[in-house]
Amino acid sequence: MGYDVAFIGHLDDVQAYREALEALRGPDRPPLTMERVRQLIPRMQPMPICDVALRSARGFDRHGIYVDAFLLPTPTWALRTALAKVRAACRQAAETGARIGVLGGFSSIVGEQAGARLTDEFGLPFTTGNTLTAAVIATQIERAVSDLAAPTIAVVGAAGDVGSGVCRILHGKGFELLLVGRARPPLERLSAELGGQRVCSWAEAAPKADGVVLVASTMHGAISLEHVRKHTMVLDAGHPPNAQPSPGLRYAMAGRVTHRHKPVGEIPQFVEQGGAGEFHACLVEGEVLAFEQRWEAFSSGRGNIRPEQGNEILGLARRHGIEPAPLHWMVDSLSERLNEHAEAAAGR
Amino acid sequence: MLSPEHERYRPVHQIILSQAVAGEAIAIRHLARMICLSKDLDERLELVQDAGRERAHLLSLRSVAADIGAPLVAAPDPYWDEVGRAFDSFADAGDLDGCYIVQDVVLECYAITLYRALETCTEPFLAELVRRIADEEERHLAHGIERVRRDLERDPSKVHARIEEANESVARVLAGWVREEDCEPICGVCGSVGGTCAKDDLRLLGMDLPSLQPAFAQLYGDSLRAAGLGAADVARWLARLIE
Repeated sequence: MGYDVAFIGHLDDVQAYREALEALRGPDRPPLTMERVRQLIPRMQPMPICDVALRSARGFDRHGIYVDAFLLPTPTWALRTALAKVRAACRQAAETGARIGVLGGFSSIVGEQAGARLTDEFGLPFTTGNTLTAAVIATQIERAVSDLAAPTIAVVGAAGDVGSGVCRILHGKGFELLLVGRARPPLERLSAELGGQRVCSWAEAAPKADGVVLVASTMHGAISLEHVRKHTMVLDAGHPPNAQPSPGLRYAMAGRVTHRHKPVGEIPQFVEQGGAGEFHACLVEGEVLAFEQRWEAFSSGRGNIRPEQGNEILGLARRHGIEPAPLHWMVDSLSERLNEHAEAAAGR
Repeated sequence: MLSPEHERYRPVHQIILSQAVAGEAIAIRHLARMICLSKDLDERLELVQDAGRERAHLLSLRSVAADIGAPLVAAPDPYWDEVGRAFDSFADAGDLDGCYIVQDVVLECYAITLYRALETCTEPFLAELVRRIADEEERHLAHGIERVRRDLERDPSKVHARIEEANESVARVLAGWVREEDCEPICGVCGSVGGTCAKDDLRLLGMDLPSLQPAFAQLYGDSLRAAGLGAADVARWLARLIE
């Protein structure tokens, strides 16, 4: 059976890989320690993991395959090694005979860098999935702050492909933005493009923002939320997550979608990465394109996402029963209660 | 690369070449049993030819060992014994297709992985020999893949059962053999030859030990998928190799 779409992805962290490998090995094999998995993942080569059955709300069926790149962003990770793994995953995807490839999580960086060259090299169009991700995040933050008058949104990772796409979409809707990122020049260019939206450091932006979108390419939990105001809404769309829930903050994972007909993977631990029956929007962009029989690199290169493309792919997704996921706010309720007690005791 | 003047040059080559020759001898033994199991004359002739090629590999390796002055050692061999027992269980049951899976798929993947690893870290004359051997083993592997593909079309459940068994009783043994960590307390194979586990010697040679097990798993997995086995089944089999 030929595949329509090859999903290239990776799991968020060592624990997720441990659980997925345990599920694959079966209960009769001895459990793997976290240390063993930590050693193992960098050495594992990308490979197809399982078939994924896709069904549109309009009744179309498509056949997908999930390829894991076995990438784990770490403080010491070498970008060159990661890129080599992603290219190996692209080769594996091409060998499956799929008609389109999607680059999820960190693997999209290769698509952003290589653009159309990937299609020439592997004979398969690759989409980064970033346009649907940006459109979904923009919809989710818009909903989250809908009760506030003239809210200010900080976008961390604003110079990135998804980040700049989110900024363009939100700017088009009239939001005031704080553009945060590591490299100043691309932020300045984006600011000029968006009518002078403010560029600032995370330290400056954190206490001012009513809503925060985290879309930086960084390791799990690398961004501190210490200076974010209480009750600020933080949407973490990092893959892996950029931050960690913190007491008093409204924190939710973003960039995920729900399906009327959920994709069914033979090994759910690898396929259902969003949790709660949700899926990363980046990978779902490939599913939408497959439903539409658009075998094209819809999202390609870096900094190309425009609001009209965001609207287009989100509209197509909706046609097939795919919607931005509701936000599940995570608060450390025990810590919050303790803080409230402490504040009450201090007479505040 | 280890220089010929190094004190470990001969012992290291003695262990490596002894193991390679043992592997080729095992292949000949397996092919001999397969010849007896085959009912088809053309197939028998082909198996005889395959055994002849493995014989040529063995003789070339033996001759290199003699040139280096590293006499081959026939050591007691728990890993090969286990592999041999697993093969025999297929052969004793008259299951020629199972024998092909063990010999032409699992064992060839293992041999190719090790020969390719050796190719990059040994002297030119030995590198050239192992490169040629690995090229031939790749042709055997392609044949094995084709055969599995054909069997899969006829009877998928039988093929799955055979691979399940070969994975547990052969691939897992081989994967354990090339794990990065030293065999504890002392390897039954090289312990009898050199006194301890040979992995330090392989490191001395410049072999990238951490890459061996993943490289074997990758080639083995790619081969099974090329034969038409499903990605999820292959992923499960590979995950079971992890120690």
